[in-house]
Amino acid sequence: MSIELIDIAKSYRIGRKRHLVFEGLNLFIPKGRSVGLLGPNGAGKSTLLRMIGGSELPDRGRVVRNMTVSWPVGFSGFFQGNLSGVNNARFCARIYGRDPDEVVREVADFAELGGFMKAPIRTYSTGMRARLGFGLSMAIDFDCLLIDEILAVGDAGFRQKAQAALDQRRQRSGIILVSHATAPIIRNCDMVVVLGFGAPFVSDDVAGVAREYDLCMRSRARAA
Amino acid sequence: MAVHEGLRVQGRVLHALILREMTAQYGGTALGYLWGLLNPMVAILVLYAIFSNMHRISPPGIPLLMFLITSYLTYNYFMAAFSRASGAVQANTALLNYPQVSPLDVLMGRYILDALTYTLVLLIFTIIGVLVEGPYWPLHPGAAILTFWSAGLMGHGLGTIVGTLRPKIRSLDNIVSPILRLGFFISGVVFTAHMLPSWTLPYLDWNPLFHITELMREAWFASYESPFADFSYVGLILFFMTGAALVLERMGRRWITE
Repeated sequence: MSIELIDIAKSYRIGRKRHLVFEGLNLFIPKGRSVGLLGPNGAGKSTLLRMIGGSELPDRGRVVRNMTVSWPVGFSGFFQGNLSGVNNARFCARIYGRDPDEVVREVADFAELGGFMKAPIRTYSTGMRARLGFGLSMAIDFDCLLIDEILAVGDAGFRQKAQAALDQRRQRSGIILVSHATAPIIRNCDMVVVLGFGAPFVSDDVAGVAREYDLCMRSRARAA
Repeated sequence: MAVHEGLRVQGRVLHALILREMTAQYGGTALGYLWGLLNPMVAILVLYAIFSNMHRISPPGIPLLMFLITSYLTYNYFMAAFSRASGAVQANTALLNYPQVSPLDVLMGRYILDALTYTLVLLIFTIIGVLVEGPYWPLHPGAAILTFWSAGLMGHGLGTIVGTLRPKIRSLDNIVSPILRLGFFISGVVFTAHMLPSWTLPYLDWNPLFHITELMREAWFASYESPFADFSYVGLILFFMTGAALVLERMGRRWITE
């Protein structure tokens, strides 16, 4: 089982111009690997994650997915703002074929939102949204979990709890983690894809690549 | 993925979407749903109050309330299906982040819920009409229900087309909504084809909704015969409109995110 991206092209239209994000992108992700997508802002990390998840279509090329993937777990809305946390969790449980009550219970335990579980999502703070989203992704099983920069949110207590849950989850499923910082990728990944410097660079030497990346970004910042 | 597994996921997604729509639209309570069901009744009662005090508008042999139920409710279903389909994708962009939810699922979820709801409304109103005006059950129930569902399918198809094109053509709503408002007067909601001057008929019989209201009356009342209603014309329009809606929806998926 794997995820394979074959000859992907993707561009966005900004005003009248086309902004090319990917051209002839090929990527093979075997099951069980923990992959970090590393790159500066605007390198196309989240776009790539959404294409892997299937919520965005490439302009050209194919994404062959023969394992179950999560939605991109992040801050941005994969929740219906007018519905409560409970109802959003129930919806999610249903589409993944899980018992809604059980999932709601697990999410409520993990996210520690108390009475807010019954309030509409639009009243949540960013941190609360992230906690609900992360809790939900922990309650449901996937072959591969897609995470968009979410490990950096919340207070220290929650971050610790989330990291512990993720460590446990990594034993049985793969993850794809998007980050512009190297620390969470070194901590969680055994394979890294660097975006934003021409053709994507793939390596198993996460620590080595991260060191190079940090050096490169620092010299860029100095030059600017 | 095997076909039956795919179907199972599809079924789960539709089930979850329908339940979600019910919560979002009717507040998730039985009372809210009941109000949604009876909402068109208010408009029908107002029309009933107005027209029963004027000289009668329903043709001989057709009681007024039943006349309004068959025509107004059918038109109302079309309009509701149109607005719900045209707003469906925008209202649910958040859900499209789930890998197994596509815009088409969102549209299908709304279509199924609306079809179930409006069929229930038609049944309730028919019973009310029968209680008030006597046993005017539909003469051909099968034809009546097929015609009724056609109205919803047509609204849904048109709504899908408009909703898909909206991100591309900003002024689309300014063009479409006046036409649809005019639709109330040129679709035979409060009058039949027989009441119109005969020179208008060659123009108005292009309007598939007029065909639908006329077909509805023909299927319902033994005494009514329409001068032009033709189900094959409605079927042809539905066929092409649904086809265009499906193709456009597929093409338009990338416009949502742009």
